[in-house]
Amino acid sequence: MSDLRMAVVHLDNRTVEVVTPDGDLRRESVGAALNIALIERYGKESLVFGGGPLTGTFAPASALLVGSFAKGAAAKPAQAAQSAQSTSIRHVPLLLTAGPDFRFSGIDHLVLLGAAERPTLLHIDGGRVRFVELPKQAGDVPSLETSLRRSAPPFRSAILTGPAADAGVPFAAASIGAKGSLDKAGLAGAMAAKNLKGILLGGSGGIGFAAEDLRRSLELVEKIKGQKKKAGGFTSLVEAAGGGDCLKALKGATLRDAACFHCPAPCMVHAEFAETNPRLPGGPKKKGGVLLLDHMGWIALAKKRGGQSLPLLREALRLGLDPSAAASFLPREGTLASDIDALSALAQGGPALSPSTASPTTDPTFGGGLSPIGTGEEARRITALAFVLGVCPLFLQRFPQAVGDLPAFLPADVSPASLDRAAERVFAQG
Amino acid sequence: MEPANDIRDNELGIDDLRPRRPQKRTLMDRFMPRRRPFILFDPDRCTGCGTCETVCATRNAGQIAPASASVRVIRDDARGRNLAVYCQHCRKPLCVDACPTRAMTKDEDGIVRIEKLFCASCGLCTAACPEAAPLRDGRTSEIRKCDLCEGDPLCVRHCPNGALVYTKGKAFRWIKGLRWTVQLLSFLLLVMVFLGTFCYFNAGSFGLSCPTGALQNIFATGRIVLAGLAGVLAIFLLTVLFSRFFCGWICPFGFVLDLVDRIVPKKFGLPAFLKTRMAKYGILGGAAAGSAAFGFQVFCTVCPIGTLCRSYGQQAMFRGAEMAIVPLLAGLELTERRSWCRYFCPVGALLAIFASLHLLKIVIGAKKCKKFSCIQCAEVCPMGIIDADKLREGLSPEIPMTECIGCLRCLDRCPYGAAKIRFRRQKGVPGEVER
Repeated sequence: MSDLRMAVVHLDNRTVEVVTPDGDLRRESVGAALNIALIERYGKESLVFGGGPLTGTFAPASALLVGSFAKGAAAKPAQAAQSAQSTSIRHVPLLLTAGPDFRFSGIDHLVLLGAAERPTLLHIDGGRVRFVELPKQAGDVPSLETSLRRSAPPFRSAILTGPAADAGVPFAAASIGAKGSLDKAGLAGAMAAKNLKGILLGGSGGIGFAAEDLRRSLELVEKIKGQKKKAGGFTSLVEAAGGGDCLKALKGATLRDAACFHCPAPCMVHAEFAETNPRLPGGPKKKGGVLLLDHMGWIALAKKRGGQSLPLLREALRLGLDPSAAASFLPREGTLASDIDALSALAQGGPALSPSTASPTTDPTFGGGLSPIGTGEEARRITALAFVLGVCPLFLQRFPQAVGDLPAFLPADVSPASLDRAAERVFAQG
Repeated sequence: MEPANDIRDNELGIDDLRPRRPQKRTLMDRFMPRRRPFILFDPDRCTGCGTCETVCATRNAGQIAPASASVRVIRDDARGRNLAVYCQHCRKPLCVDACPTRAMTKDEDGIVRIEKLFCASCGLCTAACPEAAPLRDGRTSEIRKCDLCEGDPLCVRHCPNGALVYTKGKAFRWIKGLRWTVQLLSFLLLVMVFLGTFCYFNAGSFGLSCPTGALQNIFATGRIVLAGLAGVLAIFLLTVLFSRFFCGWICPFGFVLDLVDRIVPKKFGLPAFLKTRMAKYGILGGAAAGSAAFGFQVFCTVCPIGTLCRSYGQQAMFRGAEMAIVPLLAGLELTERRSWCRYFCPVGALLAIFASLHLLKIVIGAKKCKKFSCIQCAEVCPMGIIDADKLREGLSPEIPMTECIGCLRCLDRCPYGAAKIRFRRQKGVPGEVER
């Protein structure tokens, strides 16, 4: 990728350098592998965000942005403890529209160095990175997003942290807008350690494409549509993750398919459900909704609380908590009101951080939040390749036959050989 | 030196530079309006993947740049619903009127286009559009809008879930032909073949009588003629089933009004105090009271339906004074369509009372409805009961079935199949996400 642009942000002195990666970096590194190379170059304290060469292109499900950080990047003691359980470098997948909007903002990789003096927000657009003042009443994640929509420069997507990360809770999760994410490996903690409250992605620019890409995309999407039934959607993913019996918790909810950027085979659903105020049982019912993006998180809550899992998931996302961890901290029994109180207490860092049940985890290298569709080396290799390409790893695991078609969308200067080496590097990190 | 006024008169104005193109209407348009191309959006199928934005931008900006697209997907995070905002190519586009430089034009093919050369990017079109469909490019600040890719929209072709459909609407309106045929046959049968049968017809023990006439008869004589009531009961049952279908399909005077409507322009307005749909109930009550007071069916003497039904034949030709009521009431068509039926007809009033028990209803505004950009159903409704303002607000209007004459013009005219017949108890609009 000859036109690769990289921003290096020194949070401590609030300076930004926008540079083109030098030959050494560019030669062998692409996607998440370049994130690793940047962490190696700028030090283990750095936090790196980067898409792959396919992020935001016409390749199906090209939605991936990867947040990478090394063990110890989360400087707060609690996060350091969490970090110690994992491998040396973690990659957290950020899906929905975060990846494409990151690239449309004119930056391919973002390196964050140092720590800001006070909570800070970054706004990226037009190839520039700006510091944005945090609204006075930041509050929870949805409130923060709403107030930023009013006060900050226009943005299409946002990567935000919630009150849990502010309080240094090790189970905090970064969220894309207020929709949640698959962060179970401490990206929110790494951001909080840098006093970074969020990254706003303007996404007003664009990226080039080859003349044949539109036709190729159409053909590939048609092919995938033919295999969609076999691959299954949300239900199949939940069943594959061992949550088949949790599906009855969705009874009575209105489900609508939701997909990430340019994904022809949606694997998420938005659940709309009727709820009453938990403090006023028997009160008037109103409709609430939550996006089931984090299959594992919802399964963990549903296994513990059944039908109450939906409002609890929303509450966890509101507070910026990892739903899987939140489920493990809930008492064995409780009402919705008491569970919400427990989550609030957890998000504030107390009272006791000892899980009542073991939290379900998947591969911590890849963020820990991916549904285990396939296990073993082959699945890990596909995931590593997805992290290098910038394509949703769940999509690639569900449609492994698409792997052969994706290189056609690559820029001319990215060779399949360098791609393989990069994927091998990401795989080896695990 | 010339006076300043003269100089101003000689200046070129926008009308000289970009005169408005008058919309051409042919005679054929009156009977079979031209089919316009549209894109229909199905929110139930949209997953919010944004492919439409991406492919649209390639045409606008030559890049993958959703901010430069002419379509925008609005994602409602709380409710999980997505809405695609794009130009609806309205029949009467407000953006065209709002554009101060006349950069917006609605062409012969029905597509609203923007002439970049003249566009000042002022954004007044966006402000005027009910859906804010002319979108400002995030990169260049230019105004972009959908031109349907000149007949092969990329967004439709690439939408992976079929949430966008390109259509020109339906071509043939068969209900219209059927209704005119039935109305003509009814007119011929009731007025020219079975003379006076609408008012009263007796075949052995079975009698058929006009329900309003029967009601007046009861009040005038103080007796109930059971033979006549059989016919009233039949009309009652049919009205409960099919609403006021009699007014829309059978009534000979309604047929005359429909014919007159096609000829006379709407030049005048009714005084506000007359424009109340309750008036017809007052006339019905007055007819009943008058019959009781005078001992004969008072309204029947001036009833336009009865007059028509008794007008044919040698004997009837001499009833000049009575026949005068027909052109007199038909003259009301100069004000509003079917204004007699809307406000004054006591026969319709009695049928409306029956119709309050209706089993079927007409619903407008299924997910296919293009609401503010179309409003054809409201325009063709002869009874004026489809609330165009609701459609302009993007809401589905509720249709009062007591006022509906069951002509089915709304179903026939809607190019998208958004007007439907449904059972009374059926909730919501079929296919539409409940609010």
